[in-house]
Amino acid sequence: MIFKKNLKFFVLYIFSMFFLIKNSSASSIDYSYKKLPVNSTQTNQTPPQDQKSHQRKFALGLGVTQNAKISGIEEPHRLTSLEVVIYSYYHLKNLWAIRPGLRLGMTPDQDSREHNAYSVFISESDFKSTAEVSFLFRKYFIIPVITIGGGAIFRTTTLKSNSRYISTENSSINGTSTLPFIQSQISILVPIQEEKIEFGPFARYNHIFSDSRLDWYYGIEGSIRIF
Amino acid sequence: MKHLNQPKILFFYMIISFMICSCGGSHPSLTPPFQAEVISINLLNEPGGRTASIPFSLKKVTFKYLEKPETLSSRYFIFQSGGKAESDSNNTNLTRFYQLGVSDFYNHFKEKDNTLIPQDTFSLYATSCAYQFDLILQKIEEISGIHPDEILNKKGKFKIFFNVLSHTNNKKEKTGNAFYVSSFFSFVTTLPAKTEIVPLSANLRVIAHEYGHLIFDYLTTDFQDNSHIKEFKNDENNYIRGINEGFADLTSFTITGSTDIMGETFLVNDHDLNASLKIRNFSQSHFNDTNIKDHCNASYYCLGILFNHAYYQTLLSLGMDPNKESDRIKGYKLIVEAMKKTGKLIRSRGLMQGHFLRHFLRDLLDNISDSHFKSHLENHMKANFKNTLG
Repeated sequence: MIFKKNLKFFVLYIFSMFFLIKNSSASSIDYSYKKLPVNSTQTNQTPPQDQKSHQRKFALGLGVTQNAKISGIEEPHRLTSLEVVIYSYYHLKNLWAIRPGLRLGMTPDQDSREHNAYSVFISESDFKSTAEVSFLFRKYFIIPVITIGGGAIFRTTTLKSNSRYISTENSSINGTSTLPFIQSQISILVPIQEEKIEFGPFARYNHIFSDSRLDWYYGIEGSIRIF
Repeated sequence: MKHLNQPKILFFYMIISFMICSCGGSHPSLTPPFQAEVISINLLNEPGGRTASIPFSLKKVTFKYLEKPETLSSRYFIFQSGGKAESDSNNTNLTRFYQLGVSDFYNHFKEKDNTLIPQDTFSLYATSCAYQFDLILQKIEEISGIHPDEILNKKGKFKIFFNVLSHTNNKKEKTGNAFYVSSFFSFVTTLPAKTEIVPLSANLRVIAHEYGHLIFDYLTTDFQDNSHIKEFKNDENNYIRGINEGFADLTSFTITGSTDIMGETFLVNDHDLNASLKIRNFSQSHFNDTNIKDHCNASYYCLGILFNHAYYQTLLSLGMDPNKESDRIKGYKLIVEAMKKTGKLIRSRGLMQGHFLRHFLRDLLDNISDSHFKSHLENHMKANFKNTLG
């Protein structure tokens, strides 16, 4: 159902991924190295040729996130989201890298039953799309990462009732809405198998326009090099 | 497309995303009087009326006093979220209330056809709760002769603490409740309970009952500190509480037309709890103060039930129709007027320990301005309060 309702987004996302891969693979990934003078002395900050072959060009990631707390509710209301992300990499000088990414997330059937709101409740299903840019510093074994991004949440709200008095059929609450958001994130990555796999935890601050209940998310993510 | 590279693609993607977002993420631009879709009781005098089987429904309503739908603040009240309450072992009295962690309520809604449409469960509950208070404020002058500005000028805006975490004996309370806290000039509604048939905070019968306590506080103490009542001996303390609860139920009955304040509220398997909820239906009570302990397990509420049963019998014996709002209002106004005079009398001479209930009921009857109503009420009071007034 959610896929059907967000068809316009899916088309956009698939096109964006297609162009990202197509154009990035055509462009030079390590152009910063090529600009080095022929007779320049190789420093510790420039990866040797054998390491360059291990550097990531593209990676596919999977992640799980959970919100910290919904504003105004005494106890944390845990919403678990699953995310899939595709990254491309620009390796710069001084061990820095830029990592643009496109992320899809899904939070199915968030509702308030865990807070005993059984009689009548609104179930929310989120489909989230994010475009983001990360800055990685590959000096140490553990890689610190800072990310900024933005996108949209496509939310489906459904009124559900266990009360014999409340009919939900004709409610205007049932419907979809699009919520823009911006986000920033800090994370650390642990590379293994010569950067083939990277994983680590992150903390993310989300500002969702027209829904300020949710702000902080925590999660863990892993990615695997595909090129 | 050949010249596109990653940053351009990313930028292109973000622009398109925000263009899509701008279609659905606009900030609501509603103007008062605000309309909203809420859960509310079907009043007897509404088109379609109320049937026994469908007392509540989801409906489009119009607020009169709501000023800021984003925080649910109004001319007369402020909505707050959070806080912690401790209640006694029966979960009937608030013993402590902590305002720690309290913040303005964030009402998450969208606009559709000039109507607020709640977008999450607690926004639906809170908007519904705010409407119950708005509706009471719309009606309170008509039913009692007290304009909400009269109270506003004395005490300012009252606060509604919503979704308060309730504890009983240091354990998280599993049943919902609502309280009027005179010392804070506030109302408290606790987090919902699994057993609720409709959200308690959206139940006009309950909210009107709590507002009745505020009216009682105004009429009897003029909002002055009455904490010394707690020092009274147990029975005396309970008499005052009982009359207070009875008056609160009477307020609820006048507004909603329902004598069964706690009816169709909780689904509970506990036989004793069920019995104490059902016994609140003062149209059906069948005991007096000589056999009260044998027939009523609802603590000091029983006294209020006796008082209200006498009042209900009075309406019937005078040929007044309890289902007719104008008849209910006529009776309630007489009680409010008498209560106000009695309150003044009590304040001038102090609460009399020892025979408080007898004096209170006598003074109340003496201050009823309609002699016909007074004589009928007196007869029914004497039948119900045989020990006290006999």
